[in-house]
Amino acid sequence: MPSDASTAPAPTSTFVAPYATDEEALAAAEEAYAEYLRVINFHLNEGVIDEGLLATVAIGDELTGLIESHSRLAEADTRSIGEVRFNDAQLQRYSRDGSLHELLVIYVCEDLSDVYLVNPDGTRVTDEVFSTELAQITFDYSDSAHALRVSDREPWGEKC
Amino acid sequence: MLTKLILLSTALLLGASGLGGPLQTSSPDCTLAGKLSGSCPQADVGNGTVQLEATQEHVGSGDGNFDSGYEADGVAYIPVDDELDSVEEAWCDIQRIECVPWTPPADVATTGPVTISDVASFRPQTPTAGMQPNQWMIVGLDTNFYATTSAHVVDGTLFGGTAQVRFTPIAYNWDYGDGSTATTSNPGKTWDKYRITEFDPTPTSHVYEEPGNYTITLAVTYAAEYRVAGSSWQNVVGTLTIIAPPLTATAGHATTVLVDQDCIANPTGIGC
Repeated sequence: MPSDASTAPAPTSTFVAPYATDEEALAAAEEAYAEYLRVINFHLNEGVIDEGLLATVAIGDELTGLIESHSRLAEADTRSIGEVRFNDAQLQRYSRDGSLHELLVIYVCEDLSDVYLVNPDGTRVTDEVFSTELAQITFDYSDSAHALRVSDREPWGEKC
Repeated sequence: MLTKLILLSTALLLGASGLGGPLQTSSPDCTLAGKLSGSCPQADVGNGTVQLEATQEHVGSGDGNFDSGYEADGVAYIPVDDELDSVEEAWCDIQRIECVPWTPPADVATTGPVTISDVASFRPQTPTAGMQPNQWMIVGLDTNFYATTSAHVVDGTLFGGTAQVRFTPIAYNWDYGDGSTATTSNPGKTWDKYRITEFDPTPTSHVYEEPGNYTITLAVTYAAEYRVAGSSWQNVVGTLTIIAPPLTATAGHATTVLVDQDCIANPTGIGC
């Protein structure tokens, strides 16, 4: 179809991909997930619930689930020894032409081998031994905060 | 405008509309906090097997008749007669004692651990298996499988008293029909629910290497808990495995070609 610059319609979408390359997107996702784990570890270590802080790293159903889980732990006065870590982040998908919703999906290897929960009396909450697990992490992009928020975390049930 | 379309070497396109599927529900808390507190089931998937305390295996289409006597973990419960005329008589029969006034079900705790055999009359819901694409697969690409089941409560009678049993799925055992098996703690779900594109790998996806017809079987292992008279949930020793109705599907090769138009709308278009 011949083009006619004088009659071309104005763009109807305001979506602008926030990252120029897959590498840039993955780096941003790694940084966002590191911050997510920092906040989760803070909640686990301290046995507290800070919905405002959780909302800086998660959104939607993921945020709702985090609030419910950490509220239960805080009510039970349990806290963690050690920290959850991750490595081996891989890009699953970066949608440049969609929307800011579910913009990025990555795979990460979560390491729970050095962390466990304890009751107020210091006994372990569960005798289960945790190791590594593959997880799929989905991010939304917050236009106002210019940052990624975890909108879904899907553990695969596999070691990595 | 040229349109890229995947054509199958076998007549499988009619199945393409089945890419959607039932929504997956899950009750375990699998956030990191939930995982660490033991609220997210784990399965040993390291070598494709899972350690199960299996004492019963039911096929989903079976009649569920488990009225005969059985032995469970050293405690034998042998009905004296075949007919249970009343709650009181049933209780006496099971105890093999002279009938005495009704004992509240809460005394179940004094009879020793309740095993999966004791709750055999409580039938969990039959799980179902789903797949994407629906009933076909492309050789060399991931086919996504998922189970539809969740924790649920069944009412019934335990040792002559009303009771509830809660069944929680803890392991999903897949036989993909090509010699491959997998055991996962993840039920899987649709590609759409995973927020990924079709033919991407999932925790329960599988790649078929050869064309042909396959039968895929899912067996779901449940842990059970019981409670009587509003008491808290108590563990039931052992697990129960239920086999879902099998899936049958055809694997074929795929070829990518450029066509002039949408071949479904215009099957006679160039390249279709």
